[in-house]
Amino acid sequence: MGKQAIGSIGYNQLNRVDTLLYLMTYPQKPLVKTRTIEITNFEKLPAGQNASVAIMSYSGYDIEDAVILNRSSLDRGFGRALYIRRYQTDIKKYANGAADMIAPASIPKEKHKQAMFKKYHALDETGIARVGESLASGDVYINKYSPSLTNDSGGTR
Amino acid sequence: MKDEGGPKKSEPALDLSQLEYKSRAEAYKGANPAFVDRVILTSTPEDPFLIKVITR
Repeated sequence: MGKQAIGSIGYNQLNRVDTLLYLMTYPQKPLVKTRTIEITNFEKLPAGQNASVAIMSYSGYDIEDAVILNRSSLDRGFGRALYIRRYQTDIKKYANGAADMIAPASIPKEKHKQAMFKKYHALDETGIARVGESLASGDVYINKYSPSLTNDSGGTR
Repeated sequence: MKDEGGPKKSEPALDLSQLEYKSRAEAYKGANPAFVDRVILTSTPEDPFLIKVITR
């Protein structure tokens, strides 16, 4: 709390519904504490990691705001972060009584494996992506259809 | 059906079963792949039916 960095948001951080939420994957409790850390309960909601740092600066003029990272540390999760993003669609009802609908993609069974239908792989039988499915760029996550006529007069076609 | 501007009031009631639909599929556009974490079906005063897909 209070730091302008990616860390933890709150105990509810995985149940929240933000448009975009950045989180640190493995935050750590500080190794040492101050009076302020105790007062603000910072240890209970950590915002960083305890890095082992070794710097040898030749002249004192060569490093500022920079760090050289150990490859294995990164592989083990040092500094790892994630983001949780929300996408939404409304299913509208129109003046003429018509409404949007969601439906599973109607693909003939023998064509299921064809590359052009791969984008529907995440959908379940309701036409919405199933929890746990992976989404790559171009994959459909809500298969929505809109009526071509949406007003009483039938003007738009 | 031609649009002649302005609403035609004498038109018979619309047969909803004859409506044509066009695809408005929502596609993921993120640069990195993501997993579907939660799906929420909900409503607000503005949107009677709202679908939220939360990726991670």
